[in-house]
Amino acid sequence: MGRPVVHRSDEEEQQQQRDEDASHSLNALATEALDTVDGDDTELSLEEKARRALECDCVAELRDGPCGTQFSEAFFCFLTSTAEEQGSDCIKPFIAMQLCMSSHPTAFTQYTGDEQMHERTDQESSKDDTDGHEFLSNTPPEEAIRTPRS
Amino acid sequence: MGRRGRMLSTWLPAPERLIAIGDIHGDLSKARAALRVAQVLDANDHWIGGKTVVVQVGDLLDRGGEELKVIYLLEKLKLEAQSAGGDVHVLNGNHEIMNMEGDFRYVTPAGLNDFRNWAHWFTLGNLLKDKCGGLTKTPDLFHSIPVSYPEGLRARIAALRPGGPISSRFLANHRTVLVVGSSVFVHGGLLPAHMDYGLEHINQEVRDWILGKNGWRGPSYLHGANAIVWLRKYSDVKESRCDCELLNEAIASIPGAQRMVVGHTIQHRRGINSICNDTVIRVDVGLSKGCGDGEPQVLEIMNDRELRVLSAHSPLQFINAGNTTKNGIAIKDKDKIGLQSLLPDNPQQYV
Repeated sequence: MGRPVVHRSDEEEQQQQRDEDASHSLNALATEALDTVDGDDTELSLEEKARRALECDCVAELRDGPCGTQFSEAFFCFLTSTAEEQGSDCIKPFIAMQLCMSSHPTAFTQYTGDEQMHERTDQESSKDDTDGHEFLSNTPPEEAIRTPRS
Repeated sequence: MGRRGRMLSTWLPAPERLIAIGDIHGDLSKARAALRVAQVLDANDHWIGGKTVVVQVGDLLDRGGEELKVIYLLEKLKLEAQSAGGDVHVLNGNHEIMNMEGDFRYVTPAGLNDFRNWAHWFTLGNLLKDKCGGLTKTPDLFHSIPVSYPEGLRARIAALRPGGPISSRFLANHRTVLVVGSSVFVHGGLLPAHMDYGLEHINQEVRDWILGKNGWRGPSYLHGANAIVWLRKYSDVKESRCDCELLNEAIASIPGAQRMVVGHTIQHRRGINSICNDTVIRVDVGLSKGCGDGEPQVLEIMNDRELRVLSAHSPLQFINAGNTTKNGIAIKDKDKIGLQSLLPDNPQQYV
């Protein structure tokens, strides 16, 4: 079977996928940061708006943190992106930011499964799950979970 | 790009060109191969199908390790297709339902790993948001899932349970039944009883469940041998085991319907074929390497009536309503040079 000469690598596809997830996060940040930009919108260039957005206090922790440079570049690229899927032309700075975050685990701690913290979270989110009075859990109960026979 | 509130129409008008693709089961390269045989995807993964409408009949999940990539590819293609006047529709198969309900019997180690990686990046994305002042705190992806579960399993449950990020964003927008012109698409098959329930009702109810409104377990018509997504009465490879009478009864109760297009049962060694006087076309060719690595074939429906099997290697076949399927039948349109160039050197076979 002949293969096409040029084709997207699987890594590119995976990166596209990660970009989408990151884009969703960045979308939220962008809205927040852009809201604080002063001045007449129509007179400022896209680059200028992006620059000012990066000065927002709301992104200070990321901008001034261990991955500040990478974050700023990725965020700037996203804000100034005019691609149909905003940020889809920012693969390189996204990768750089993600690599940086991965190599600074203490600064970017995820939920590590601290039992106590989780129990509390469980109770809190149980309340969030309720829509009215009846509690309907969307999590399959342990007895319903089936795994491949090894 | 929130689409949560959007209604999914159960009935769509017939396009000039309609393509049906069978079960994919986590195999990205075979998904691409099928889309290329359908001539809707170019070498750079872009839509070149113009106004073609593609319907994929479900089972993107399980048996392969590239499930998320397949989901994202089809979603991206949908957007590109819509810009060009076409569309891509994906149905829910039994493996989607199983995964959303925590039944991971057919997951592969690669699949578990893929979701574990996905969860890593998803939670990092949430962290970004949490470090930004003024945004509401992101909910814990893993809430209510015991920490004692292995990581891959936790991630898969988190992603795919009703209301989870992957189920809400993608699977909730996949229909369970879809009628395009005179073709009824469904993963397993429809019984007259399902018709009584109402096709729109089914689609809406399943969607609401996937969005997390009704607990962990799906509606009853998704379970059991006679379920919409499990039925094999029209797709058994042995024609004698199929129930044409029941099929015709079901089709007769759907206004305007002439045929059912189903996946779910691998058509071993037969490829795409039709039975019961072409009133059901079985399109699951076992594409995935986890299912036998079947040769890529798709069903093409032109002008809501001319049925053809497209494939890279086998001779093109016509399925004519009223006749039984024949192999190597004369190709009416000799201008399809692109596809013919992929066929073995037997020009005399095609007059």
